Amino acid sequence: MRIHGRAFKDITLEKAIKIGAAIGQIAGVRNLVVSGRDSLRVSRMLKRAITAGVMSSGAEVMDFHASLTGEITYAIKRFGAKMGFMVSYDPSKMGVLIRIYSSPGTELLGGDLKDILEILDKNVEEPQEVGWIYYAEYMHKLYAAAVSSFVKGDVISSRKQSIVIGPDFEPIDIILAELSRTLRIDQTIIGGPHVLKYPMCDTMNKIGKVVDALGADLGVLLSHDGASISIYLRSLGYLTPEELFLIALEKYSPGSRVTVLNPISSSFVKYVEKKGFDVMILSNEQKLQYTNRRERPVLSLTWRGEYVTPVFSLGYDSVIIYTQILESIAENNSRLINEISLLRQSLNINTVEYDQALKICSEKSNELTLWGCRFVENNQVTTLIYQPANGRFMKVVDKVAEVNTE
Amino acid sequence: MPTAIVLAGGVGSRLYPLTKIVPKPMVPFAGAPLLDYVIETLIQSGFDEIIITARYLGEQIVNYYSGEKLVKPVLLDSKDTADAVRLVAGLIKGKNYFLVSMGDVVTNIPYMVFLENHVKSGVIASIVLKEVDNPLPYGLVYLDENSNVILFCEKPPSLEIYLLSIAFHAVKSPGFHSNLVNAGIYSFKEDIVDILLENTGLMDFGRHVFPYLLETGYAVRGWIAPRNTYWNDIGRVEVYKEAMWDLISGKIEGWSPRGKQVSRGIYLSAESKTNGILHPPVYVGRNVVIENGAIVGPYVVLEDNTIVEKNSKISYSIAWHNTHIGENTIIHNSVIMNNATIKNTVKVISSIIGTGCNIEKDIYNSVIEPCSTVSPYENTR
Repeated sequence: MRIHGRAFKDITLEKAIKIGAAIGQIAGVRNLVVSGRDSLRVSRMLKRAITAGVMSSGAEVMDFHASLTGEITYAIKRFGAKMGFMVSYDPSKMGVLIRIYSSPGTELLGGDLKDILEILDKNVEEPQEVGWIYYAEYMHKLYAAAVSSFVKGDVISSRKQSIVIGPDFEPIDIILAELSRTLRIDQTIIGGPHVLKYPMCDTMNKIGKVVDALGADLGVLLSHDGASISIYLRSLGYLTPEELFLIALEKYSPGSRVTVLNPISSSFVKYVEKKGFDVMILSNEQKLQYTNRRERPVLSLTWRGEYVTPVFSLGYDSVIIYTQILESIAENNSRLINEISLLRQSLNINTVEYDQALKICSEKSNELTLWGCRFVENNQVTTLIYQPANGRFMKVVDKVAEVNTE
Repeated sequence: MPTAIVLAGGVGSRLYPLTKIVPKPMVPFAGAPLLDYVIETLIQSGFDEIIITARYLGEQIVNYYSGEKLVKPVLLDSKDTADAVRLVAGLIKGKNYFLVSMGDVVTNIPYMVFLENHVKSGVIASIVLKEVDNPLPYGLVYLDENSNVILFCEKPPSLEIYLLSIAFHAVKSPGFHSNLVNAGIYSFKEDIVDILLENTGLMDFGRHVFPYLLETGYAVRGWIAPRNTYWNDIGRVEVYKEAMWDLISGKIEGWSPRGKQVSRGIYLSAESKTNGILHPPVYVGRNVVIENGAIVGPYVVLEDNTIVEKNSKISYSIAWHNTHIGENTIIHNSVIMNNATIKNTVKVISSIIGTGCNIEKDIYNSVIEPCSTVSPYENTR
């Protein structure tokens, strides 16, 4: 689906330059390409190689250094860039992940990468013109400003919420500090692990304990590229992606359209439909991307806990969903907690021992997530999500929703 | 039949605690709610259908305007500004053009000139822009040399204006003004209604609709208000007072307090009894009693049924309806909300006294939360 593999083995420096040259060729001479990476060394090295490739094709680069996927997709739209890319380390696949985007911020997946892959097979041509590179360190402030401008800042700041966030990867720390200042949030940041490993139980544990100790309003766990998020509430523990989605939906009107990537809980879908939303359920990410671009739903969710707010940008963006959740909670905290508690009561929920849950995840799930894992068996979707309160995983079993959009 | 939609649903959290009692557009404004002045200006400009979209404490608005001929108050469960217009789509169907105005801006802009300019331009949307010294608290707009909007950024925090300028110069090099802000008044073609109905994620004009229109290639025009236009967004209590002083000083051309101007800067309602001394500018509402020896002004607004007992001194302050100010009190730089009582000899300095509170001790630089929730407009109209 995406370009990924082990650094130096599958993704060599030479290959990275070719990937960059291909991106530059598709963007076109003197057109803009936005570049970003996570905070890890390998990503830093590979981004430079890709950037060199882009410049060799005559395209111009706007470079954000360490950045989030949401910043890249937002910047493509904001600055009218033709293409963009983001280099990150993917703990679930133990390797480098290169996300490539086209205007207006749509990620290229599967067959959409065909043009890039075809160019990779050719030799890099001698450049006719070398592109320029802009270093745009100010992007984080710009992005934080755009995010805080998207929500009702006065509603959020009037609640003076207390938030615990982790881990402290660059540039999440810069962006969230900026947001906290603007939205008058009392923020505590938790240090991150040296070695990334999904699920991030240690960090989840720390966040949960600090939230409980401080009596904070919520805890926030973010992936290092800012693509996915999980939220901790004192009374409920970590929320499932569906529950978090429900809170974010609070600010939108019934009748609005939403998209979700299966496997997703059918009870959740029924519940959201009963609230009056039009739920489009898709079977793969590429279809989700197309549908988001075409239908412009108010919100989009993947089962892994990645969210898209298409009015803001078309990429996975945990920061924009985080601020929307702050707004929903500022306006309706106790009602939302009651609503989710009631929803949980209607589901088949129990707990699984820590070690056993990790074993199940590694055996049955194709992909580990920030918060645990999800798998489908006998038309049932099982979600295992770590909960610090008892050191176990919460297990939610439900019938998998049926795909209704192709 | 030009139609205007007046958005009056916001919570107005920055104007708290005033907005605990009344919705922001209904804050008392020298004899009438602020919203009354907005509507009056629209009617005088030639609008003959005014739809008010109310939400937060919206019953007050609906009750106040029920039975008005040209005004249609509608109570909605809207989530934001554009959502409110979406919810009244049925009422504006068939109107080729319409105007949308915030219900809480103090302005005397020539609304009809703006609408006519919009109609002539043929674009889907136009925005009234105002030049300000400090654009930080507002929505910032960049225009090209043909008055087309090229960037819309709602309430950008501090440094970002500078950064946006650099970023835009780097990639687009447009010529633009850097101090134009969104005045909260828009004109639209009817097509905007379909866009809102199809894109339910567009909840707010500033934050979502204008950025969306620009991204999807629609032309949006900026119309810079004439230099002498008065415009003030009463977002904070200090600005509320400032706008009030401008009103009673005659600085808002076309707007005048509800009472009769008996001398320069002194507005009195016929039913008031004033035996004290008035220092202009002052507004004195209906059934207000000012006893002997009291000194009222400069910069004082006393709304209906206020009593100021003898030898009290009030300056730079606003007293809402039904307040009772005892003997020998000193009130300075304060807002006394409705139905409050200030006991004899008490000093209230640089403070806000909440609705229904009884103040028996001196108060300095404080906000006293409302003690009751009775509206100043109960039993009026």
